Amino acid sequence: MVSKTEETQLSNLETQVDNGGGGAWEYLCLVRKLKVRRSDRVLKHGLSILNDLKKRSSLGPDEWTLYEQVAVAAMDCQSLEVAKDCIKVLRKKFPESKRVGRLEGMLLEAKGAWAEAEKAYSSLLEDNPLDQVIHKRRVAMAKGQGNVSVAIEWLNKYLEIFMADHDAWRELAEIYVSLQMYKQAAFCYEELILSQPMVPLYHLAYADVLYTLGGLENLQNAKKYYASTIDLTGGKNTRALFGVCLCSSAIGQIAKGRNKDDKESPELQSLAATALEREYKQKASDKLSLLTAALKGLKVSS
Amino acid sequence: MNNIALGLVPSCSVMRPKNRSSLIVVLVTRYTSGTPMIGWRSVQPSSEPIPELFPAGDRKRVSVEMALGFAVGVFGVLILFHAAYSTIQYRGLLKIMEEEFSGPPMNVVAELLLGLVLCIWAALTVPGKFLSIQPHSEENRIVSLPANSDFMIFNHRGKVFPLEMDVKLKH
Repeated sequence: MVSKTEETQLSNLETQVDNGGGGAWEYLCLVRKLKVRRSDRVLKHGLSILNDLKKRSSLGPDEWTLYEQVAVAAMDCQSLEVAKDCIKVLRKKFPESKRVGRLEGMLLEAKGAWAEAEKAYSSLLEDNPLDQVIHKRRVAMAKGQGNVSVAIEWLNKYLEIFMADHDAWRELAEIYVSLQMYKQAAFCYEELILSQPMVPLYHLAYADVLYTLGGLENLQNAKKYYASTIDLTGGKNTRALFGVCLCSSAIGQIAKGRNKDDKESPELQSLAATALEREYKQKASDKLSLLTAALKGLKVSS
Repeated sequence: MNNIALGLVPSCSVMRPKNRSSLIVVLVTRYTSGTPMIGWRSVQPSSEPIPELFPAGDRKRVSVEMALGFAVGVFGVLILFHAAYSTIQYRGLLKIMEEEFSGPPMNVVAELLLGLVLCIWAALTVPGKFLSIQPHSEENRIVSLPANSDFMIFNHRGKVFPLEMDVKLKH
């Protein structure tokens, strides 16, 4: 999870490193810690450290972690020569390692040699049938080939064994959303909210899915989850604020023809609209007129 | 005397502040002829991989604050000891004067309260800065999820535009 402070720290460090201000190793450590995907920069700065003998030897045992990081980044950037060299160095150092075997499989994947990669992974799985990362690689391989239904099948099988793996749940949810299978995606997001209730982004994604599904009940639930996102972020999530406005407007349209006994209090949406207006005034005052027009169209601003 | 004092107070203690700054402050407390001597030395670890959360100026301020807090804490404990000593003395005096013990004298109570306040203040400053527990504070507010790197695929649009890198891995 990337918090606000860490994000600012990362972007500061990024500009510093890009402008040649040093701190490349700290940047690479932060990228690894936050698990963000900055493959081009990792490749560039990682290689500059690895090619500098003095810098490389000062890392000590972290050198091998850096080789692995650069190898994966190189595969992501399609610099297969670099990836191959890195893996060769690692193989020389750790001849029996499974982790290096996994990297070799990933290199085959990056080359597009799917059958060989599959063979490599299954031989690794024979040694250790409960290797989670290799199971995940197989899912990713199916996705990379475009067989999304196969990927879903693998992922469901995987989740039957490793139910607590929230990364896999997230991946499954995202695949379902990409296939517009919103009911299934909603189930996955429910799992995610159960396992990590304090992450506002899962609440937000669940609310998005519910809003897309439509229907009065789903819309009301979506509004609740947008509200909980606002609660968890202290009102600093613009998407959730917009979500509350859209939900209330949609609920208002559906409930127009029906009985008006259970009409909800209009406070929430007018508060959200006020918060949005304030934020736009602070950060993008030239777009404030657009916002007020849009909110008027939704009939939520007071 | 020296040995007892050394037994009571560790001669050297390494403290690690809770905040993730890479500073380690080594407190060296030496007892020479009964009077406490506190020496300060700040040691920078050689190559900490942890990225710094605070810039250098901030760290310096934190260490100064900690030094002050520690000194105040020592002072507070000394005051508490003095209060205990005064109470014992007062009871001895009462025994000589053959009076009943009704309560501690005013100066002891004042000393106790002062010592309590100073010790609390030191205990709150010395271990480091407090971290926020509110979910919407800047440190805790999650703004983006990590890339799901276990499911990373290489068959993406970046393949069509490969990065122009002429650097190779040298050995």
